[in-house]
Amino acid sequence: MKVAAVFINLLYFLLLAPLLEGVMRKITARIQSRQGPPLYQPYLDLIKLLGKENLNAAGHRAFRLAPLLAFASILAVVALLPFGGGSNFLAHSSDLMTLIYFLTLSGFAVLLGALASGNPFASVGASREMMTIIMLEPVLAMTLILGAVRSGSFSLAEALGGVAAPGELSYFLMLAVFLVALQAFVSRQPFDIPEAEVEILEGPYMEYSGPDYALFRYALNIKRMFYGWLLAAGFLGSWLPGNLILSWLVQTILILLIFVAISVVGATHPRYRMDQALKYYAVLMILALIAVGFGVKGW
Amino acid sequence: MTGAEGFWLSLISLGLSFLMAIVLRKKAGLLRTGGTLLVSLSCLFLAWQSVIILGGGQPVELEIKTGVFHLPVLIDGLSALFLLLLSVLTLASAMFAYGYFERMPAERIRKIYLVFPVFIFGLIGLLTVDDLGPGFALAWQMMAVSSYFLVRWGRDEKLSTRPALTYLGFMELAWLLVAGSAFLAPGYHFGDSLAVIGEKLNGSSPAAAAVFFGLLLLGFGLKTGVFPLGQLWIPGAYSTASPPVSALLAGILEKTGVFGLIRVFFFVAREAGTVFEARLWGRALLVAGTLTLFIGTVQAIKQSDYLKLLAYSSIGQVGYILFALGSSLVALASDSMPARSLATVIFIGAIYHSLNHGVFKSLLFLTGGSLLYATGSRDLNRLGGLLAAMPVTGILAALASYSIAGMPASSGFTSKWLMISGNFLAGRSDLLLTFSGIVALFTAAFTLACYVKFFGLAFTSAGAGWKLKKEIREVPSSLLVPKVFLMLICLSQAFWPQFYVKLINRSLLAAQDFLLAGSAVEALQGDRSGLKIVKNSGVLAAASPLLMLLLILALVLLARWLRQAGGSGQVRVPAWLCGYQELNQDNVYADRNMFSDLKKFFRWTGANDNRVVEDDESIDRASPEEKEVIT
Repeated sequence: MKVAAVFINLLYFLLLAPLLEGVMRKITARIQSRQGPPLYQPYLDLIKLLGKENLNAAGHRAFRLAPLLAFASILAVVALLPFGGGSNFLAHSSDLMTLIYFLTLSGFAVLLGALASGNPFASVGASREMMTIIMLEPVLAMTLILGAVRSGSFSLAEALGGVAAPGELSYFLMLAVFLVALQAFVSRQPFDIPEAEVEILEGPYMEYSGPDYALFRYALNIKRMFYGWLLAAGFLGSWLPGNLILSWLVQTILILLIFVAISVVGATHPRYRMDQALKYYAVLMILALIAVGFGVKGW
Repeated sequence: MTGAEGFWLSLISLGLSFLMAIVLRKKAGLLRTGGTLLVSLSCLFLAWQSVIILGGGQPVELEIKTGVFHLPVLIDGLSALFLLLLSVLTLASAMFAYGYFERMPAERIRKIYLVFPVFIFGLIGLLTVDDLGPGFALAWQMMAVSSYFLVRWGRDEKLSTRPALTYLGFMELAWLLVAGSAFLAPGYHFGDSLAVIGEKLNGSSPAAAAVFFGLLLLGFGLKTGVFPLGQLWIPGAYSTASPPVSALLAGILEKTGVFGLIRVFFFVAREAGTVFEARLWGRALLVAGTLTLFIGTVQAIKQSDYLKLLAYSSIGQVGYILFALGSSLVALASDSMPARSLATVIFIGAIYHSLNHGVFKSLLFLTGGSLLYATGSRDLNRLGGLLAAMPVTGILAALASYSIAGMPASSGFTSKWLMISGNFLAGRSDLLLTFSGIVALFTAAFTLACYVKFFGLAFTSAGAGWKLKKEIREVPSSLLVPKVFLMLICLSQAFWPQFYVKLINRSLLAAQDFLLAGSAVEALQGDRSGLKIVKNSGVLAAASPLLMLLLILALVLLARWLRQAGGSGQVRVPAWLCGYQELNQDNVYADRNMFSDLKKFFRWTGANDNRVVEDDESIDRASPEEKEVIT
């Protein structure tokens, strides 16, 4: 069961992640009075991209390695996640620092690919992506650290249990911070600054096409789903029903609802400039810091 | 001469090297070969000596009597560990220097090889001399004066005189502070060993003891580069000295400061007994370290001169070590038992990070040296796309950057994991510990940004081919071999942390009068897969580099399979620029644009001037419109 948990997690994320993009595209289209593509369109897109030709703009290995690394590291994050409240067989040799750094690694892979492509637009995107990682990853880290402070352990299952335990001031403050940060975590408007399609033409992914782009796209979808999962199974975890199947179903519905909300916010807000976003992230960081402080004090 | 043969033979080799430089003044080529051989030989002897001591032998205590002065020498486990680091780094750096100095004028080679053995001699002295009196003064002055000359001869005298003099000035100030502090111990006799000083301090007033520890914190802090003192001399000195020397300055000279701090706050402090307030000094070190690690790293990302970038980042990394030392003291002083047993875990993390940082920062400086050797430019704005021209240097630089950024399955990850997770677990109910741990975690992302920039803009990206009007080739193998040597050690540190932790543990067992002696190390367990922090058989935290590597590799294979599943081919195309591909070379994203909004946001941290002064004045200056920043 402990070994199977890893594969169930991987399959769950691999299968569901593109659907979330479908939801976002559909809702966004409806808000803009368009029909929108069918919900399963992202699956078709991935299959189509996998069959296309790979264009290589750089001519060295770093460019080709980046998409593999991005995809692998975000899946590594997924593989570590506890399943059904219990820890899997990787839990004895990993903890939440491992998770945070795998997440950083997936961001790093995007940067590597962008800089390797040698395209100035991609470099602008890389610069913005890195700034976002610097300011935003600490908010995620502090969410988990609050869990670690409250549970007294760095192990992922226990730290997530610490995140989920409601009833204290620190929980509600961190939940609020996480909700406000969610839009930025999944890099949708108004925080899609690194990609900024109409401004810097998808930034880091600009030179990528075909299967390499499919991997990046897939990795981005899985990353978005991870943040949705963290809200549903982490913060709201203690309210999920006890039955494994039932709780899993409720959790999936919650994730879908979260992405409906994300799309509504995304479709109705214009993009921030980088300097505006930095100030926004700084406020989030300070609030998260206060939440951890509350956690330390036991409030 | 019981058990100290390696030590003596090592010093004798250095002495011979010095004599040879005097005798062979006319033959620069022979001198270069002979000097490299003798220094390498000395490193081997030193490594042998350290291994004997670490392998379970007794610490070596010697009393050298010259006239009125007694020089107490103590090589315990801790010294042996740092001596081992010294010998490894000196070996790599001396081998690198052999190839690097080939292009130097004969006059300068002669001078450098006269001073270099003195420098190493001084460093060995600092790690072995056990007093704050004559022995310490001798070792410190040998180190300071010789490295002053090495810094001065690193660049054109017009550029190097000022930073070199600043360096010497601060080194002398640091010496005065350290040597002067001992007089605060009642009944101090010039030449007393550290243990005796500690005992004498025991009877003194708390105020005198506070001044004593304060002066030492300032003195050794100056040397390690505590904020704001490090910023005064480190960037200038490290970017002025030639890269093989900078590799030693950042790799080991800085660590002798760390060694001094450990000797004071973890050894003398034990003898001093109740007059030493562990909680107070722990907090002082913690705050100083946290400030240093944050400010140093943020300043590093602002630099366009890659040697300066490495220098500022050294300040940041030493900040991590100080942070951990402070955190360890605070944990030790806390009332709860689990926190006390975590003090040792954090301390081991600090030592491990010293070893790791020594290796990968030296590797990075040698990479910087190779870049300078191959391109002649120290400006990241002018580099780019060198991975194609310098593949081996590029891959080694990638590995070192990956390690220092602490990415999964690297040596930096494991040592940062020990320090940070230990800190959080010990500081569950301590605001200061938790907050400084968060700053340390936050700063890790800055370190990543710094080295993404360094590696990305020098080796990937594009530009060097267009901006430097010369053909760039891979550096000769004499410059590659020492880097490969360091890389192998760096990899062993990444994937064999159990061994290093065991080694550090052993060195602490062999150390006498250690403050943390007797506090439980059972909290940290190593097995085949990696390291674990445990409490009552429950795993609190775990890190397994090997498992992380296997996981990533398996998933990369999955991704590769997916990529090929559609059977698609590959075509080489130029980078797309809205249809103006032929203008690519006029549209390169230069270094000064990287993170511009973030740099503006953190303007208050200082060191905002990112001008680069090239050695070669013939490299044309950037035109004014080239200086605008794109956000």
